[in-house]
Parts: sequence; structure tokens; C-alpha cells
Amino acid sequence: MTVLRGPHDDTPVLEVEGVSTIRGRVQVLWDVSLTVRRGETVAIVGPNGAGKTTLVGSITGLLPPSGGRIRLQGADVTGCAPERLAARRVALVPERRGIFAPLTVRENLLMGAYARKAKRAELDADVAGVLELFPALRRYIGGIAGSLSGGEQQMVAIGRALMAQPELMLLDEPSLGLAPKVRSEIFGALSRLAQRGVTILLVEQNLRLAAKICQRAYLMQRGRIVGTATPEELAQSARKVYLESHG
Amino acid sequence: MIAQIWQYVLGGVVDGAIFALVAAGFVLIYQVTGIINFAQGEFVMVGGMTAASLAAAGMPPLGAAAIAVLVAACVGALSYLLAIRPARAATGVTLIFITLGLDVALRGLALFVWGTNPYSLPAFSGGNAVKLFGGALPPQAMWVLGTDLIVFAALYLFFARTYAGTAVRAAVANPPIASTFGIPLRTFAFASFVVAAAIGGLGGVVITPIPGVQYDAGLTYGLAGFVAAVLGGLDSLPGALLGGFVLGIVEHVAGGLLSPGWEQGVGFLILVLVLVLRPQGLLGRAVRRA
Repeated sequence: MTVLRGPHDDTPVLEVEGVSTIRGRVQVLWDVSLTVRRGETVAIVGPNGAGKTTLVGSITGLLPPSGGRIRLQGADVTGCAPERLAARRVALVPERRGIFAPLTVRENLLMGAYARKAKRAELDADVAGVLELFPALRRYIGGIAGSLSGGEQQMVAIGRALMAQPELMLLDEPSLGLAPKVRSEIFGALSRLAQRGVTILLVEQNLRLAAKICQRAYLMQRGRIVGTATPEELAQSARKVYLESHG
Repeated sequence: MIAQIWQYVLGGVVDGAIFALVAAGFVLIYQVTGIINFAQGEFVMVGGMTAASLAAAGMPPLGAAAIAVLVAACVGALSYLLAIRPARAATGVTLIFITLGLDVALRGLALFVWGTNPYSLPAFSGGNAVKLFGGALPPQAMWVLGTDLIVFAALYLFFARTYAGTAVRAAVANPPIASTFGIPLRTFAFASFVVAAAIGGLGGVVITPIPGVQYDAGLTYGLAGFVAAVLGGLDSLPGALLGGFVLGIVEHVAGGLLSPGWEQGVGFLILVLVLVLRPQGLLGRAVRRA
């Protein structure tokens, strides 16, 4: 795969400044600001309804913000259409995977590279790279993606995003609805990607999993960023929640 | 009696081939945009009228046919740009009314340009009728069936074997997520109108030498194409092909055995039966748009 980059540096890949977003008639995001630097893995954690998915939608152009600024590698991309953001190598692993169900696994992966306009040989090499990361997909490569299990579909969704050779990869609740064993397999792969220097913005409710791979985290509540945390603090909170819920 | 029914079947196959082309246009546009384009039949009329009037002005048939298809494609492009795209945020019902309005407008424009006189086009090739198991087809029918074969094979190859075709299928499967990977939904919507119009225009060109054409022919083709598309399944190109032929044959046999007035009535009866027993059509999947 050609997504290898150097270790993270201080160059901001993503800058979100005072973003507010309205869905329908309801304001969901209020003055949200965050930064993701090159090669970093940053988590956004928070309860259901905190506005995490809306924030991902605003960054990817699916839900244009009503206020504030979004910069990608210094360029103002506020309100840009998703197609234009794809050309800037922003790749999304959406909540509940959002794979192209009637297409084969290979076709799904190839569609991840649509904005790159790459040559066939290059695409084939990148598909081989994804299969190296997720060997479980090898046997299904010609099969219909919609017939795979949830975990395998998540692998397809992550592989599809990697095919974009992303400058920024957004993952929205990648652990949602997966069995513990599959979750740890997926997060193992994400950890390897993070080590290879892929810039990742991870939205996750599972604090323990987020703590495993992120370098820092933003805490979201009711549409606002209410604080930041280190992975250690996230892990501690996860332990506390676990102990509380198990008496 | 059997020979007579067989002859009706053969006649139905020719009509069915055109219904299938019109249905393919309905399916293409519906798949890519979610819009049922009730102006689809007018593209057949535009193709037929343009080819017939150019041929009447002395242009060689092949040149007239090529220009007619091009004109139909341009009408499709303008229909999208002027009527559909400005209203892309509208609801499905509003868009249906817009395409109905487009249908009336195109028919009115045709009346203005060509008047009410029927036009005809010489057959593309001469020779005797083609005999088939005791029945007979006019030589032009071979052009109609050949056009179906080429159009549906080309559509199949495009969707199954090309990168752009795969991207269209991805856009159909999950439009918002497809857009996050750079798949251009609006370009595909525009292209679906252009291609559907070109296919309709081509259908109009090849069928006109048999029944002729006049400004209001699009209404009949549009209704038949719509019924064929729903019959086969609005999300299925093979369904459009099957729906077209089933409708053409049923209408012709019913019209021949009962009376010509029964043709469309029986077609709609079949449509109602399919909608009750299998709402997604003969080859369609249960509707599930992301």
C-alpha cells in the first residue's frame, strides 16, 4: 500500500474552527473546534446524540455547517461538496459501514480510489495491500459485499477508504455492532495503520478501544466539545465505567 | 388459428422491442436519479420525427438517423438542465409533475415544429418479409430487434465490465457515500437523461419505417414503456427487456383475438396483476434506496 507516511508532525491536516451545524430545524453542533495534525490519530468520544456523526458529516461535506470554518491542509473547504473533498483525499468509513452492497468486494475497494484516477496496475497493487491488511477478505474478493458478515463489511469499508490513499481518514463508530473478537481484529488493523502514519480522526463510543489507538481525544457532549483527554485518561474512564456497571 | 396467433406474437415482438427500449430509458433514469421520467416517450417521437423530416428533405437515411439520435440526446440534455436540475431539491411527487409537464411541453413543441401531419421513413433495407415458423416479419423488424440486441448488450457491458459502470452502480446503491469517494452524482444524473434520450431516439428512428410517426406518438410509446418498466421491475434492465416483450406480445395477441381496442386495456390489466402479486416487477428487487 502507498499510504505509508512519516511519523506525525505539527502540520495541521484538519482544522475545525467554531463550527455550528443545523440538521432540519435543530442545531446539533455548537461552536466546535478541533485540530488533527499529520500522522496523528485523534478520537472524538461522547455519548449517543452528542453530535459526533453530525461533525463527521460536516467535515466530509455531507452536512454543510451553518457557521464556522473547516480547513484541510490550510485550504478553506467549508461547505465544499463531498466530491471535492474526496479529490483532496478525505476518506470516510461511515457509521454502519455504508458499503455498496450489490457490488463485489473488489468493486467496493476499487470505488474507494475513484477520485484518484489511478492506473489499473496501481489499483491492483493497492487492492493487494488491503488484502494484506485484511487477509480474511481474500476468499470473498469476488463475492457480493452485501452478503458478508458485519465484521467483514467493516474490513471492506476500511479497505475502501484506504484505497483513496487518504490524507485524512475519518472512521465513524467502527466498533458498532461487532463481536469482541472481530472488534479487536479491526482495531489491530487500525493500530497498524496509525503506526504507518495514516492521519485518523476516529469517532468512537467505546473508550477502551479509542484509548488503544489514539494519541489524544476530544470529549463531546450535546453538540459541544467539552474537554480533551489523553489515552490514559480515556482508559481510566473506561475502567471506571466498567467497574460502576459491574457493581 | 395457431398460425394466426403466431403472427400476432411476431407482431408483438416488434412492438415489444420498442417498448423495451423505452422501458430501458425509464429504468436508467429511475436507477440513477430516483425520478420516473414520464417524458421518456417523447424522445422516441423526437427521434422518429427528426429522422423522417430529414429523410423527406433528401438526406441519406443513415445520416438522418445519426442526426436524429443526436437531436434526441440533446433534448434529453436540455430536459435535465432546464427542467430537472433546477428542481433537484424537490420531492418525488413534484419531480413526477415536472416530467409530466415536460412531456406536454415537448409534444406541444413538436406540434409547433412539425404540425399534425403523419411522417414516414423508408425502410432501411428492402427485400422480402422474413419468414419464421410460418409467420412473417417485415425486413425492418430485423433492424428493430438488432437495435435492441446492441443497446441491451452495450448497457450490460457498460455496467458489468467498466469502471464508470461500476461507479454508476455504486452511486445507485448508496448515493451519499458514493459522493464521499468522488463519484459525481450530478454528472451521472445528467448522463442518464442523455443516454436514455438517445436510446429512445434510436428506437424512434428504427421503428418509424413500420407504423410512421406524428407529433403525439410519444404518448403511446411513453405509456407502454412505463408499463413495461414497472412490469419488469423499475430497477432492472433485464426486467425492462422482459417487460417490453411480454407487454408487446400480450397486447398484440389480445388486440388480434379480441379487438384492437383491447390492446392497451389488457396491457394495463397485466400491470395491475403484477403490481398486486409482485409489486417489485417480474425481475426487480424489493425497493430499497439508501
